[in-house]
Amino acid sequence: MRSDAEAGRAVEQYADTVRRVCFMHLNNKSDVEDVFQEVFLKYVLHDEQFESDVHEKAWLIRIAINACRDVTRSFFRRKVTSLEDLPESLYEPNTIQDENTAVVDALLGLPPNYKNVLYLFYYEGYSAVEIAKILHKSENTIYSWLARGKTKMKNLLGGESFD
Amino acid sequence: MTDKLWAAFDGVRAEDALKEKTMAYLRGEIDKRSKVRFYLPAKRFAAVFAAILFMAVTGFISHNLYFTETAYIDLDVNPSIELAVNRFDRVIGTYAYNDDGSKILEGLNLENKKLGDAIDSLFGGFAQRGYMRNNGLVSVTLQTSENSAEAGMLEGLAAYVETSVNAHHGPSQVEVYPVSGELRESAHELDLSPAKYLAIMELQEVDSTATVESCRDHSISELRGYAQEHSAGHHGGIGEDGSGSGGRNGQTHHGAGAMHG
Repeated sequence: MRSDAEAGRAVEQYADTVRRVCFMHLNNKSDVEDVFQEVFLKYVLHDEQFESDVHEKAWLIRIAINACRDVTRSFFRRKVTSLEDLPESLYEPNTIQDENTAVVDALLGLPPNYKNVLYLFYYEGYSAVEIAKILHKSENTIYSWLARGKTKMKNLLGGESFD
Repeated sequence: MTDKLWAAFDGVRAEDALKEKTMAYLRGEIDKRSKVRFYLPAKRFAAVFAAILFMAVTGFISHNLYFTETAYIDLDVNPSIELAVNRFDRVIGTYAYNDDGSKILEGLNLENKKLGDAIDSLFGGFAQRGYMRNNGLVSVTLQTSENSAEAGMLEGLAAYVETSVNAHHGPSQVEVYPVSGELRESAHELDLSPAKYLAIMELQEVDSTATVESCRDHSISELRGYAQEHSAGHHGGIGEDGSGSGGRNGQTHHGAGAMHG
């Protein structure tokens, strides 16, 4: 089990990354908090040493994606969502500039697999080969999702090319 | 276009409050997992030692025997509490799995009490704080290494529980059953009582997306209800009358039940 100090270092270093994954998949604060805590608790309880910061970050991204997927697909979660967890704005105030909302809206409207690969490819800068390792999918699957994701984005954005 | 995506995501940051709350949660989890589970408060030691000395003089018992845990009794009403008991049916340790359980234990002094009295005090505490709902469920498990004595212990435990539940006007659904040491260990690794661990495992059989963390704060009857509903929903026409194949054999019963784990 990792120490308080290691946990603190990881939260400081990777909180924004995990938050962005949550931003893509979740739409209420309590789910974000739950996933956040779950991801970093798994980090604390994960005994194996990471080869590098790159490896560590990729591991956390995969855990965060899986945790978000579990939340959004869970029958149990659908049954117990509190009435107080009313859908809130996806965006914190002043987080997303107006000129960027169309692109973000389009991305957030994609199926989860396409969202993940487009985010990892265009924002995090991972190659398709690296994304395949993170998501435990074949490279062909990643290339396919990238292509279909870009096509869908183009359609959602009125024909404007995505890249 | 990708510049816009990049700019948009660059503005998404983890809120300070979220990070602070997460760190507080992690510190609590690290601390909880590092703690020794059972302890004797130092201030009680003098009274206990005097009792042990007396029993040693009478030739009846040794220090080691008294402090040896021979059974673990876990009670789930939704406060979730474990009692460690010695061969003399005395409580020698207590543990709360959740905050509700901690609050109950804070108000009670259970160490060295006879098991029957401790159980009655616990149910009194549950009733006082409004946990003994008519439509609730009381789950009690027994884990003992004394295999030859298990049946008798279970019968005695069931009698204590039934008496206390009735005395405190508790729910009609009461279950008392034995569990194995392995199951108790697996439950403890997740900081769950054995009964709640079993309920979560059963829910996960019909809903693989249910996680321990999302389930932990829900009562056993709620978890079984979700499992039954999920099973009924997945099987279409099956279960239209509300029956389903979820839950622990669909049984709730008074008295001893079949071994689990």
